[in-house]
Amino acid sequence: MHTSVLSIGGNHISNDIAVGLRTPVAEAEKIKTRHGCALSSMVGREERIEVPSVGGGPDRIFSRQILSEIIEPRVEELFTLIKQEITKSGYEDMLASGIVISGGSTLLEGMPELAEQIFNLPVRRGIPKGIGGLVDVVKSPLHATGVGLVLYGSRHQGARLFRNREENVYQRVKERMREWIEEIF
Amino acid sequence: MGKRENIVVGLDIGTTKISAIVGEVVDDGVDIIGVGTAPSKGLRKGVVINIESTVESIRKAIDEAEVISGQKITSVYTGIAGGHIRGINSHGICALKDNEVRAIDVEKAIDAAQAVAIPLDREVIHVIPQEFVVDDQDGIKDPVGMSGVRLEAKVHIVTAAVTSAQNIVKCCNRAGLNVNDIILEQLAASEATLSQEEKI
Repeated sequence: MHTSVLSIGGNHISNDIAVGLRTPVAEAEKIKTRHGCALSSMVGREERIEVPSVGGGPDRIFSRQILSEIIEPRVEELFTLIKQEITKSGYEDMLASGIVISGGSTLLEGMPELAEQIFNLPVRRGIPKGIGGLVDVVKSPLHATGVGLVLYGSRHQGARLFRNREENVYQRVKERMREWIEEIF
Repeated sequence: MGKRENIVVGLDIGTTKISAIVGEVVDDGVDIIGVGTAPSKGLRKGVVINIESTVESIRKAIDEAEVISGQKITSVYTGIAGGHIRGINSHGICALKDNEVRAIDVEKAIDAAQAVAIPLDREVIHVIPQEFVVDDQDGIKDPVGMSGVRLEAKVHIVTAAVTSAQNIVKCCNRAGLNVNDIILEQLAASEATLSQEEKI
């Protein structure tokens, strides 16, 4: 098993868009979620988007192609860094099941496709499963971590309650003495 | 607002948004009964940099989740992420009495595997047993009851910067929440998205 964290995320993409299209970061974030695409070859040439200016100037029109040309290199950089990390871990040849990506940024159009190109492996978005109730609300990679925390909590809750029951001093002493005796024989 | 016994709340403190998800443990799994999200203002690269605004965002997400689920939320499971997370592989060995693996031997082997030098500024978040080796037979998932003279545990240890973890707990406490456990965010996400075959 291998764990590693890279400090690159969706807000880097938003910053790039803010700088590239000269628009406030909050607007860049909206443009990213509404029109963003990680693979510029998936965007039609005629598609246009409206971009607000910093300081309340008139909106400007850009082609969606330009937007995805800003996003693509950043996402490509991210996946390339992850690939290097996987190579470093030595598990490169064992990833037969492929890669699962999760989090809000992976909702970007073209994200799994671009990842597949870079990793040469099947890539899918991680959608929370194994739950009931308000499934429609959380059925998105956006909520993968939140749902995972609930599942982790529910699965490890039993063990914790069990341990609490043993906190009784007499029980603990008895348990400890039983262990000693077992050690001796 | 009621308070049911079997409620588990996950609080995902992210850089862009904070979300609280309320689950009710039922016989055949978990039902999601409430979701609350709020834009996150006090984090950068997954790490808390402003306690006040993080507390405010947590409160907003929790309030929304409380209204939707109709439950009072007092404790949460929360995630941790950021560039300070490190993972190391380690292994520990335990000699077997009576030539059979008992549950206590498994615990001992895992404890022995945790005897690695961890700097004072880092704390262990997870110790994940990966496989056990009994004598020379490897790839064993559950060794209890097997015959052998020597048990080896291979574990993966995840550590995080103490201060980052403390800041997360501090933010939750200031928002009026107890933290049951801190879980590596990727591990939590894998819990929700991967199928059993994919985990092996």
